[in-house]
Amino acid sequence: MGAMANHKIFLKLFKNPLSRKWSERRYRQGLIHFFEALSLHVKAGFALSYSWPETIASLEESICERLRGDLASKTKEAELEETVGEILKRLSRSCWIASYQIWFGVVSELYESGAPLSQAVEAIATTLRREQERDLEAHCRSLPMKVNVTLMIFFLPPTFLFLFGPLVLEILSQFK
Amino acid sequence: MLLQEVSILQKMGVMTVLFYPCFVFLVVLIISFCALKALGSFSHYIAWREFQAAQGWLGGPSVLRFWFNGLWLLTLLIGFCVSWIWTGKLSFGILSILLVPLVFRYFVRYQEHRWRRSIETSSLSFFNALLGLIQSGRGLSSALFDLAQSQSTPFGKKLKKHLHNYEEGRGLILILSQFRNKMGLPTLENYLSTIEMAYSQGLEIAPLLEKMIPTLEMEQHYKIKTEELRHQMAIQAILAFVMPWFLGGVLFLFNRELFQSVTNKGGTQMIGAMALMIEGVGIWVLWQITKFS
Repeated sequence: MGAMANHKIFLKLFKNPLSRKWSERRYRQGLIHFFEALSLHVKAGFALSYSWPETIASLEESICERLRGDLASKTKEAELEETVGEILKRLSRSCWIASYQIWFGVVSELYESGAPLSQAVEAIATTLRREQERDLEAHCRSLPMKVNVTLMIFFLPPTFLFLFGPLVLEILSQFK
Repeated sequence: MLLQEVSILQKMGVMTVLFYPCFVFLVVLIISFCALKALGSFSHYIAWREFQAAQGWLGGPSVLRFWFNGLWLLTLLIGFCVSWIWTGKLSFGILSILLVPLVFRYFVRYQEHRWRRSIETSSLSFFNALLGLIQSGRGLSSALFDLAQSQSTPFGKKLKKHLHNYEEGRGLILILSQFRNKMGLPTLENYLSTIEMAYSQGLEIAPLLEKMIPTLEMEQHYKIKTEELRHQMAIQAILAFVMPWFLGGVLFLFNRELFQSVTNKGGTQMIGAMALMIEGVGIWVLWQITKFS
């Protein structure tokens, strides 16, 4: 058990700090497609209990694994499967990206009260898409600065090493 | 023996001594690479004809990978043979073993990337035309057929190949899902699966396409923008990477005595290795921070 924990700590140390950000983006991208497909179903008049699993099934291969696991129904005690209402409640409490819990909370409330869902689902898809757009814009804006800083940190020192390294070695050899 | 070799080298001149191995190495590399490319193209043609795989170059099912690995070994053997016959040594063949796969991997990746990009770019006009036809009252299947017949874009051509199966009695949903899976395009995959789902459920396609097209347009725009920025970054990084070594080369050409006095000192190799290591880390960091997802 202890060895397992050490192994996990070791893996965490070497984990790419950007991987969380990339996973979040993939999660959001999948969520956008999910809500768009769901809004299509709901708009056509299908019930959410039918539309939810149908949409997951249709997008199964193209959305990321974590999102698929979150959206899918989980088996409870006595081998009972979660209903859509329960999935929504679970996501409104513990969605992987905390800021999206509110969206699932809204859909859950509407679903429980029997109110129409199409507009809410469409609004969520639009909001998520705008968020993704803003993120992309910010990424493109910050790229030149990131590149310049990296070039200065990692590529200037080797040049200086080449220019002044032999000189430093010469000086050091004088002291010997 | 050693003195004899040194005198031969002195007669040949330093530049010739440096130039000759590079030349031999380059020729072995080019021959190995061309052999792999030619044999690979031929095998891909056979595999495609046999298995109807609408894939990119070698990016396909396991049968293509089998061909590819076999050819890889064959080409490396060719590299060894060329090296042995020409120079009587295997060292150049060993170098080709190290470098041909690396160069070839990036070459294949670049080709597949170009192929995918051309399909993604052409998909936008295809979807626009599809929306127009559906809005004018056509069904999805007939609109797809008409467009695949009339459009000679990469996307249309690939779809046309798959739609042949429709005439053989396969369902449109099955064809679309096969098309989606075989293309392996993550950006388009979601949209195609949504269209499939809407068609299979009997939902309206036009509103879906109306929503989908601006999104796809935006995604492609940013993808191209990010790629362009990464491309510029790659040029900057290559220049920065080469700079110290270029300085070393200039020193070698214009002040050979100083260069030799520097390289003969202990610690110079360490400086070179350190510089190379820092630059390697720099390239990895650049690659990671410019990635979007």
